[in-house]
Amino acid sequence: MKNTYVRVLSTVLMGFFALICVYPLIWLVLNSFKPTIDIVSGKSFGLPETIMLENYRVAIFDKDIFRFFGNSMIVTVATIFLTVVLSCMLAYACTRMIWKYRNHVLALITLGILLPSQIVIAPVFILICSLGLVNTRIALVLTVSAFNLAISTLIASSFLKNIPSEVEEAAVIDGAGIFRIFSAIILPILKPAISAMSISIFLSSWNEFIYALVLINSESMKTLPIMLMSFSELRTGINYGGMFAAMVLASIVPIIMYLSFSSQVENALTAGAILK
Amino acid sequence: MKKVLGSKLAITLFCLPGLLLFVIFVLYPLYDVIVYSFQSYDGINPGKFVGLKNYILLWNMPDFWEANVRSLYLCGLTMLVDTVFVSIFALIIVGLKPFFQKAYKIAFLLPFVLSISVISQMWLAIYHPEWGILNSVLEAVGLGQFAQGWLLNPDIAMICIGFVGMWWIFGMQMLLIYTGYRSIPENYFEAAQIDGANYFQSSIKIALPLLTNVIRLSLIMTAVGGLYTFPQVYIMTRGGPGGYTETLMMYMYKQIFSNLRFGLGSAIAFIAILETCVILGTITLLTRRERIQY
Repeated sequence: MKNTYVRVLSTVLMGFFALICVYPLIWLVLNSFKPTIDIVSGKSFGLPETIMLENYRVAIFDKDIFRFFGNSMIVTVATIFLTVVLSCMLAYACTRMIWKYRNHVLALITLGILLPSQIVIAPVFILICSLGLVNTRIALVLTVSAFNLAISTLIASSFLKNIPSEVEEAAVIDGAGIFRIFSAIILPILKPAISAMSISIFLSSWNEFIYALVLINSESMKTLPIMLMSFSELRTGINYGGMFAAMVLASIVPIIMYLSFSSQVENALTAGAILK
Repeated sequence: MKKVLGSKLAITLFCLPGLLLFVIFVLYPLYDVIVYSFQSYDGINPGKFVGLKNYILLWNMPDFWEANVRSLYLCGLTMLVDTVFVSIFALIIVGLKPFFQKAYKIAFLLPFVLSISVISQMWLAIYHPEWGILNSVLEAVGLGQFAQGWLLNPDIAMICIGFVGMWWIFGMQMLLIYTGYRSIPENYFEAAQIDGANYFQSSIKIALPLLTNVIRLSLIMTAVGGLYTFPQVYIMTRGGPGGYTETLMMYMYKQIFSNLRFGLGSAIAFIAILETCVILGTITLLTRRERIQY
């Protein structure tokens, strides 16, 4: 944009929209420091009068949020690990190994990214029940991994396609076996793809709602997104302050991750999307 | 080379775990959806084949049609807001100073990295009829007569919920189109400038046609996002007031997990799959053009 007036005007206009976009989040953080009585009496607008940590005490001690934080963390880490390992192996077999049906398998996997996961909720629920895995973290790890497998495999395979085959030829001549080639040569090369995959799996697993809702109903196994609903389910006087504090705590990991690795997160999100 | 990379054992070992997981939790359930949809099945006793009964039942259920229309409406609205508006926004942002480009991109994308559960609970408070920030802001700027119980008014509750999802994925679509724009070589625009085109002319004449693929992708993502609106409804209204915000997925969830009608729920799921195919097919046809090389 050459014209300075137009540029300034657009900057201000877009700044206004950007502010609208983040304001609810700022509002959330500010209100997590206010007593509930202030929030519900119309003083939710504006800065808190004093920084009050009572809400955080409620969230951490009364609601035991770190247990749910732990559940979310265990499920997310296990999902990332399982999906990354399986999809790197699958992608390697489908892009670099020599066999007849490798492109068919890859095409089959592509089906998985077009399918919204909620569609199969009934059969998956029945399946998890019949495997006796209801109310376990494993159930969530397996289903969320399965749904992320497609996109991760495609990210890894599009990355592997651009690696020259001399890399493996040299290793084969040196007498390396397939597992050695995979672990000592391919995995290190795949690092950028693995970080993109991990970020996108992290976001979808940490924020998973519908499967966490359906597959886990015991209080002790709940993950953060489901636990947050327990604040508003109280019929008598919702503790909004505590709820806001819990929401801030639940969001802190993705927000810090995004703000500190913004360009990697953006790359991961677009890499995932472009393959669809 | 062939001996190592073509080893049947190695190929099986590499493929099997991933494929097994995918088949068991994605492909086979997809097949099950179709099988269940022809059954009367409560999730406990074995299902009985009932032919097209579930589909006939749905055909005669006004609730189902209304839920379907609501979801399609959200689908269209989301495409309009999150692809059309976002494209305009992205085209404007690309022209700003690099600092503002980066700052605005982060601001718009920030909601997307949060859980939809957090987002929905937050908007529940924003829309609160007594002390919600939306009403406070309206009163502060002198539009107090519009302040209301946003989610209690059957006429606008659905669009209020729809807006939450649109706001949530706005930044993601923005990022997509922005990134697409940035990947267009600079010399295309330089050539246009030499020919005397101004910024907006070159955006429309050069960038938009080159962005067709990205815009198609964005249309697909927003269409699916709108059609499958569920967590927002579940958290904010559970379909109320009086069923006015029941989307297709909310309706399916209720049939399956409240009424234990797995067969009927699966029939709804299968219809949703067909609708998705039709919508995605239409989008692909409408945006099809010669492959552009640049």
